[in-house]
Amino acid sequence: MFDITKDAIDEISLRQRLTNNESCGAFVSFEGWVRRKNEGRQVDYLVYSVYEELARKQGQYIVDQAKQLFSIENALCVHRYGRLEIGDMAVYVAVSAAHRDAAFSACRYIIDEVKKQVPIWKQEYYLDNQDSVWLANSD
Amino acid sequence: MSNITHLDHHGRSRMVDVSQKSATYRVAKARGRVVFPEHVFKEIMSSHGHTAKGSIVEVAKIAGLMAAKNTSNLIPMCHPMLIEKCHLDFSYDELTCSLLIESEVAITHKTGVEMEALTAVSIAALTVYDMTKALSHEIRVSDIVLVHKSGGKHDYHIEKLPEKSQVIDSMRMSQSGETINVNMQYFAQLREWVGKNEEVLTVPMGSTAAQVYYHLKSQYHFSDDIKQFKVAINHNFSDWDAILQPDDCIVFIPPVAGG
Repeated sequence: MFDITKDAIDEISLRQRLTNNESCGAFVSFEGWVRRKNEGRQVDYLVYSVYEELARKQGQYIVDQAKQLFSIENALCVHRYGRLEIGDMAVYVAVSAAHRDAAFSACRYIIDEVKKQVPIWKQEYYLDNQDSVWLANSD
Repeated sequence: MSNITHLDHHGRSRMVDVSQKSATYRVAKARGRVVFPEHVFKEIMSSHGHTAKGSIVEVAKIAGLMAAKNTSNLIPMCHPMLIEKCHLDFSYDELTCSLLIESEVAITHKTGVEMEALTAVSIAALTVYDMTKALSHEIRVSDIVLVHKSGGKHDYHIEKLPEKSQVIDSMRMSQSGETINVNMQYFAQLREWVGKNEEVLTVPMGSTAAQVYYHLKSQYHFSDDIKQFKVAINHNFSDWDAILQPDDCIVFIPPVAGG
């Protein structure tokens, strides 16, 4: 499952979707948070914008790919958009699997590919100045 | 003969002297695929990409990295290179029952890394073959090709994007002919540059996405470098040279920043 949402990510209920599976011996999750400091500047808040149709399609494709590439049971990823404050969760990835190796690998794969491929953009606003910057992921 | 730098003017082979060249940032990307018989592809999918020897992709990735580092030991006239980046991507393609392999190698040095990128793909592909050969003798390695090279005398990119001047000329030339309407949607920086979320654009029939980009670039002062952007048509990633159809929805996608 891949989703994008304007509301705060409810990681507790997302986690529950992957639990209660007798064939799973491992669960790995990743949370991406909004950080105060970026490239030496004090961040005030972030605004994520999204190209919704393509983001949903591409995000689901990545989760499906992860299920094909790794021996995992289930995987999900939710990305938030709109205005986020420092400490807010921007993205959540969760993977369940029989064994931990595949769970770690798939979790890493999903967050890396989401950052590379999904059309979501981040505009950073700062405390020291009124300007804002559109950021780009390195890959 | 003079165009082949690996031959001297007597036609004898040699390693090219790059000692006087200055170092630049160089990137090379290559691509190849391993094509499986359909039943083999299905078997690989049902085992989540694992064979008796382990994960096909993980082993092939390591093999590709090792190969890139060892290129100068394999190809006689290659200079030894201290590779600074080597990345391999694998994706299974159901439509063609194949595993697509893409490599990217980067270095700041005096000579290019296309042989490293091509060697990485080649050896990764052979490793995929080795990992899967117990399943069939009809597995095929194919289409190994350089897709991008930059930082040297001549940059190259396989998606041959039209030159700006040609584009504007061809837009002008076809101006008298039939036109179609397409729907532009703008996001992120582009939305700021354009000052609106969307608009309907009338373009000559037969226009490509790249032509529309260059056309709008002059109007809205988009970046000169189209390669920073991707393009989506009707909510799917597309090629820049795709011919637009009436009422297509077109989105130029600036570098993304999720996560």
